[in-house]
Amino acid sequence: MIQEHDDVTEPEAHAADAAVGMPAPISRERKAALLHCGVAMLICSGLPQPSLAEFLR
Amino acid sequence: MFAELIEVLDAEKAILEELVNGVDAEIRFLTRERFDLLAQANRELQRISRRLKDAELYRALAAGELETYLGLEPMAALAAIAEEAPEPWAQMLCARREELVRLTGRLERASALLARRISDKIGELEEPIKSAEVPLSADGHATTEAE
Repeated sequence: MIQEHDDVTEPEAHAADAAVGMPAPISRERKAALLHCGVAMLICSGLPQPSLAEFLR
Repeated sequence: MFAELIEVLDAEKAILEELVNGVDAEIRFLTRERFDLLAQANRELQRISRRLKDAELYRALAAGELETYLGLEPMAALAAIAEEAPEPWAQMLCARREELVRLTGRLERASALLARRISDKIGELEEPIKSAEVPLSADGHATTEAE
């Protein structure tokens, strides 16, 4: 992405990126949401623990 | 020995209830798109899961002593321990087993629902990223309309 500096604002930088075909950057919020979803998926994939099911068989 | 196992099973039951509540909370936060709260709930679930692992260790120790005492094979199921146990312990162990089976069933269903919801949400979150992907030309460079 073209870096923002004194005379180029962030929207202008994004517009310049788009003009050369670069996709819009992924927002920080969206990245964080994806990360938290991924962590939640990892946690719930280990529930309930197999050893407990084995004990209760 | 029996009292010790029952105590550990009660502790494990309380932790499982917390886990079920935690997973239910994650489903609510995900539905409301409160990802900040989802992050907090993730940390809480990780803490609860660690406590459950500790409780499993204590349970294995308590059950191990009883297996030896009752002449059972190592890693015996709770049902087998209850079957060999004298009263009133047998009945108390059976009651705990039923409660734990019910709770693990709830946890399994809640986790499966959460996994589906997360999968859907990840799909939603990734959709704008996928649709914004720039097609590459044969030489691997991004193509533009001008080309």
